[in-house]
Amino acid sequence: MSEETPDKRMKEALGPELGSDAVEATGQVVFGFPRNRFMLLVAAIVAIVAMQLAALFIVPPYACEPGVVPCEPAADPNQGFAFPRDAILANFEMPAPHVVFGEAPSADILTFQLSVPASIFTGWIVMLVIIVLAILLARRIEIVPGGRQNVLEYVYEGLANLATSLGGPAARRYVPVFLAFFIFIVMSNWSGLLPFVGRTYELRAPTSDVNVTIGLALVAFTMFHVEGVRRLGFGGYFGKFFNFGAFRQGIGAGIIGLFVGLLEFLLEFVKPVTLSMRLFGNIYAGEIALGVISALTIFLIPVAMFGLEVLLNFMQALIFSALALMFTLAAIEPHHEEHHDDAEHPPMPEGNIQPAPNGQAAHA
Amino acid sequence: MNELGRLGAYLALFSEIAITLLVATLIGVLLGYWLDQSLGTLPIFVVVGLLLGFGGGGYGVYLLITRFLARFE
Repeated sequence: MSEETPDKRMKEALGPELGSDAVEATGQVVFGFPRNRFMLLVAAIVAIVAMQLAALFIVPPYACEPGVVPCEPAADPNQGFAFPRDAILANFEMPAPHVVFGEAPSADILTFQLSVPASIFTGWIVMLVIIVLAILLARRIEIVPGGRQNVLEYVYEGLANLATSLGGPAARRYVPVFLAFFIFIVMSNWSGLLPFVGRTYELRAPTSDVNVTIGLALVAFTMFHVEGVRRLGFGGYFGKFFNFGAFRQGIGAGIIGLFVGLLEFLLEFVKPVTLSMRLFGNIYAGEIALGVISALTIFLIPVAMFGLEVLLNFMQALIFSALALMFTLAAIEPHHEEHHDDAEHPPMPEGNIQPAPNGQAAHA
Repeated sequence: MNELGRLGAYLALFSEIAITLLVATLIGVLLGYWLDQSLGTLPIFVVVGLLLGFGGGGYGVYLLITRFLARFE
């Protein structure tokens, strides 16, 4: 840590006695916070407070309305606004989304009723935005990329490199799926952070609805197994789980092999549950937390929470798509035996190697 | 970008470890409870399901760690 910082240079220039005082007085401000950036921060804080005060007068906090804003049964709509309770309830979003088109589905588990809830409707809008953006950016592709094409290539190459750094060269084949999952989920997550999404009846972040995340996880689940069967063949793929070959090493080993394979087969069904529940839980809880904190506090705390949510939503999209990619790569791996790799690839000697007369590599 | 990917992969692995244990145990207990309800042997299969689910979850975590960490390195 022997870097030349402005503090250090100032101390050297002024000598030991003057230096420390001068650095204490000015160094912090000069080095850490340039004056124009400090003014920008003050302006931002003033703007936030002004916006919150304006919102307080233009849109006063609303009490519960039966059917729109959830009410406690005991709460009396004529009673007026009770601060903590009504503020929290007004910002509390129920897990089930509103139905935008069609009738609300009945409570039976198995029904067939076509209806479009707010989350699917917002999902369509998100898809439209992504498709239009992609078409606009990819128009007139040239060998030497211009400004728009540069943006597209930067995003694509960054994510493609990320996928291959996670899964090695085998992952290159699945980059389009990884990208599709990542971009759709991150845009869906971020759509929930727009102020009107979730507060408008017809709009709600798609991934804050468990039905959407289960759908996404089922798509990923289908992809693992279809790719596994395509790469290894039906027998080869399901032979990983129902491993009758272990009986050649004896009855005991066979039973253990079969049991372990069965356990692995059952654990396959845990994957879509974990994928969907983690995404739904994080996004839904984030929205509730953001709403409740905005209701209870003002000023910088909701803004800090908002920044945290932007980051967390990005990470959740990354986690979902990275796990989908890695589960697919695990599915297309051939059945692994102990020391399987060692037999195929003998350990390479280290150091300078030159071919020996008998064809074996030897140390120089 | 690759550092971010590595961070994401580790976060994914750790959260997957926790949720796998939870979900496998829950599935075991719920299956055991359902069996007990239909057979009328209340505490037995819940306990068996709990142990089996937890064991299965532990094995799943072992598989995750051995396979995925090898891929990250």
